[in-house]
Amino acid sequence: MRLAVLLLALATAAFAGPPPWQRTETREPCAASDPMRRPFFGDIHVHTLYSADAYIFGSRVDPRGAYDFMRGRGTVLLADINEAATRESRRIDRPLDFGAVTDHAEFFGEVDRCATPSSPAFDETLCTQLRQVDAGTDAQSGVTISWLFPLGIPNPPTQHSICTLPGVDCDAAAVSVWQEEQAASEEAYDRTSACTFTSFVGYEHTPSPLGRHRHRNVIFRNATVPAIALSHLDTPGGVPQGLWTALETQCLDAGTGCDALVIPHNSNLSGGEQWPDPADATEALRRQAREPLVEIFQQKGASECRFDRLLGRGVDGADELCTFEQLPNPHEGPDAVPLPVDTWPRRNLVRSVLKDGLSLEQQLGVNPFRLGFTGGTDTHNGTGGGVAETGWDGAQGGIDATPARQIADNARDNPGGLTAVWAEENSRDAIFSALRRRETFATSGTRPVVRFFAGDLANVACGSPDFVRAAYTTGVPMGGELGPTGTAPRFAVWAVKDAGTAEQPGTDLQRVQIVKGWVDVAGVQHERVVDVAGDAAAGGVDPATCAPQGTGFAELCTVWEDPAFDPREHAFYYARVLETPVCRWTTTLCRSVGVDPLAPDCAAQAATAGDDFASCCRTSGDDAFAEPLVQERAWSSPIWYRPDTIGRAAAQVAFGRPGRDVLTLRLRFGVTEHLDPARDGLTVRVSDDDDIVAVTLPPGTLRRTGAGRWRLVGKRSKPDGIAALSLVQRRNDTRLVVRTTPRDLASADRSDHMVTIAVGAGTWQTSHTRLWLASRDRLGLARRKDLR
Amino acid sequence: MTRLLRQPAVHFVVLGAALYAAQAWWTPPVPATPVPDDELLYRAALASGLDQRDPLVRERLEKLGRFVAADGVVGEPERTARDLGLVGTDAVIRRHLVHAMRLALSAPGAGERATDADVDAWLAAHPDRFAAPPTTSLTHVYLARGRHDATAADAVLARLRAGDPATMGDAFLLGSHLDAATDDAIDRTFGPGFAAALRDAPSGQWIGPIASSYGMHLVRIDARQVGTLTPSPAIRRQAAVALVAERRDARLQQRLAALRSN
Repeated sequence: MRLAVLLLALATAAFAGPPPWQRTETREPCAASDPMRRPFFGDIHVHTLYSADAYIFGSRVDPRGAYDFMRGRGTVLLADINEAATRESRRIDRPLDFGAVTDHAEFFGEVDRCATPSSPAFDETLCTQLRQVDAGTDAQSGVTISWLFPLGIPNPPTQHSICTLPGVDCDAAAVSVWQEEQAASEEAYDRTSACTFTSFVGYEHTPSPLGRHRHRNVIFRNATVPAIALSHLDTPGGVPQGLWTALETQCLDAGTGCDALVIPHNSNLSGGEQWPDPADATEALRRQAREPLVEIFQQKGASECRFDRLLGRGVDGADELCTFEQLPNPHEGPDAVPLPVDTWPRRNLVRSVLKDGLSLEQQLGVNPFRLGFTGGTDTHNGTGGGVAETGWDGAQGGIDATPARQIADNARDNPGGLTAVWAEENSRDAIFSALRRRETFATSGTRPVVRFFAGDLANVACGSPDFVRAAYTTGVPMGGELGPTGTAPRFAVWAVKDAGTAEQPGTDLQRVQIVKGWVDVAGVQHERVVDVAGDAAAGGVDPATCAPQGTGFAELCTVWEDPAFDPREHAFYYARVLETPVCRWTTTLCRSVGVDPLAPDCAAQAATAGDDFASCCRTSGDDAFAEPLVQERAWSSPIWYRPDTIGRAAAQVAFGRPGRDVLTLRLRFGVTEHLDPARDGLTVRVSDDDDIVAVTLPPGTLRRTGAGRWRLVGKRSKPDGIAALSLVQRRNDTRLVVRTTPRDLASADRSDHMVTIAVGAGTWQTSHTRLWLASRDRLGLARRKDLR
Repeated sequence: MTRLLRQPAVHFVVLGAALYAAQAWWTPPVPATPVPDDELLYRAALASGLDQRDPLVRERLEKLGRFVAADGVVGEPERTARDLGLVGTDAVIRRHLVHAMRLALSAPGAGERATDADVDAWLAAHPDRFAAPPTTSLTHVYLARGRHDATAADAVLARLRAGDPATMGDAFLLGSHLDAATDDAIDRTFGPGFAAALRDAPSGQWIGPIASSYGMHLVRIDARQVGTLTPSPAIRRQAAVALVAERRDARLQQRLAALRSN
């Protein structure tokens, strides 16, 4: 027994390597930290009163209140339809692990000046409209349009006209609001070793040309942020390039320790304009770096895919589960009308965008749309993470403050989703790094937990307590990329149901699917959805009570091999985990007013309840998307297969006498048609939390010694510390061998930990992260004998 | 002077004042109500001469004075505007003075900075604010739903208690150990009620089976950490921010009360 504990302690000690990221802030280390990572749930899309539209809707929750709500420490007051004051207070059903208030950065200053009684602008029409919460939803919508009008036109004015009044300094007010947002985030951040909650500083960048949402959330890694929230009105130069440039100048390249991610969302309302084609490979690479994620689900619907059940076909495919949470119109604005799936803008849908990314990668050598998944609420009530399906009472202040308004005008909305990350600990650096490497999954609001790996996975088996460690050793996790390994890759997925709460037990799982998208050698796109675990018939709902009927699964696990795998085809794979059906919020709410969407005489009941409740009776027989029962779900970030990235790899640091360590890499890629060392040179970087070895060979350094053969020749051409480097580009694959001279590689920690190999030339960039294993004299990728 | 008396702006002010006076005279007496904060702040601003110094007020008066001057009034515009009583009647100036005074009264006086000792005292007075909650580290053996019955669970428990290593049972996605987990984190991992079931469990002994959302678990508490306050520099900075905000509010209320009693 004692021995077992001792062995366990030793095993844990061997794990005490560095996390694969640098700590950029001063804080206490977390008491609980797991190198194999744990799931943390958060909402990084939350609005408070500093968002002009939220203020107009009557929301008066400030960022501090929103953080208190997310942490489960306080209640928020929901906007009433008649008074700015209150409807009722709400408390989150279970606290989040992390969150960000992301107010619309446009008009920070105007909102502040209009809301402040001592401001000379206070009595201006624009300001009284902002504060007029009893005008009814039509008037509120009208005011919202007039406030947000500059966001919908080309070359907008940078401020509203009230800012030109004497004594109205909107710029200064905007700065003070931005500082208030930062202070609220700082206060909510648990810097103790308990690490109970992580807040991020963030905001929303909100261009809406003619009602086409091209909205993006900006999330900062730590407390070092630009002096102003760089709004659409502050960032001319195109959407989103203007934003990227501003962030690069004032944050990423400023040398201040500032770091940020940009997350597009709500592409289902973008009119196909959220992701235009990049101008060239350079811009594609820039997009991949700036925008590694997309919010695939939120209060205003799902953006994954679309299927019209009445027509029996979808956009780009025939996935029947894509009827889930669809809005009728492809954008907002005066010309917004419902469109059939045949003319629906493809790039409203993330799955189509992912496929277009593969096609562009085939042409440019770079995938501009390599998007991992997040989910959020987009609540305008300050109720981040308030996603319980039962009892949901709206998220847009007075606009959806009553059952009648919820059902009559907003029945296609939903409580919103969550973002889950796999991170070592609950701190800003850990979670931000998980977001950046896309080791994330989105959920439609519930909290199932999903692991997803791909690769050789030779020693990965369901039921093994070593599953996760083995998978990190021989494969890549969700969000990663995979090259040709010589055999068809295997995909390991393990999901467990939502643990639930006392009030709302977690729903069982029904099945796990793997969604594959690919482009064949002729350039034609395809998709396929495969049930890999579970039972499509499992679980159901008692129509009389909404109680679950039958059972599903507490957990599902499988290792799946793609029977149609072709190593020449660019592809992505993601896991979709479905829960058993439950009553949608509309069903519960309609029943509370005496209208039962599942009853045959629903229409008669609705006639009694009033016109507002007619839409309670939309059924799957007469509506393309309405669903009185829904299947909540989780989407893992994809894993991308690239024919030209690292497939098989042998890599190790051999520890010698002090100062005599040697790193050796033997990497095998597929066909690298976009790699040209004569034109672009070559960079090789091996890193954990810092660089172990980093080599940059300028163009012309590598000597061509034969067809497709390159090597370092002569002592003078060799960069410091490199003993040998050779590159062989063949018809079917590419091999790279690198060996350092004996040197001090003390930055390679002697413990099992994640190490990244990155090889690049020009816009051709590859990266491969795995768990390297440490022994007395070696740190490296697992060899065959290590896996026995 | 005659010209000044012909100015519409002057008529407006004089008539307005007359109406105001008349209204005050005609209004039946009402029980004394406390002076509103804004009125107190406005009076304090005048008493401190803020209206004479504040550039924004002067700029605004200058502009208003020029507006009057455009109607033919001679003299320095700011002076004219003051003579017309616009410091009290112009809503913009009035609001600005109130706001500025509010900030001024909230501002710390000399020597009022939060010292290290202040932060210590504040942390001691707010123990729950930055204290790490109590946590539990545990090892568990998972028996998946539908694969084991209660008898089997008891048998596994007996073997664990007899010293078998904790390698029995099924693989659990979130691992067989939980380190320094709060009750909340335990419930979010296993389901509601799980932390409560462990509350009185002795450390170092296998107990169970405890039902979770996934099946049954045999649990050994490896360590319990009491909630502690460890004021690192980062936390002290957070505390200082909260302390300053709290003092600011208190100071304002105190000074308003003082003004009111004068």
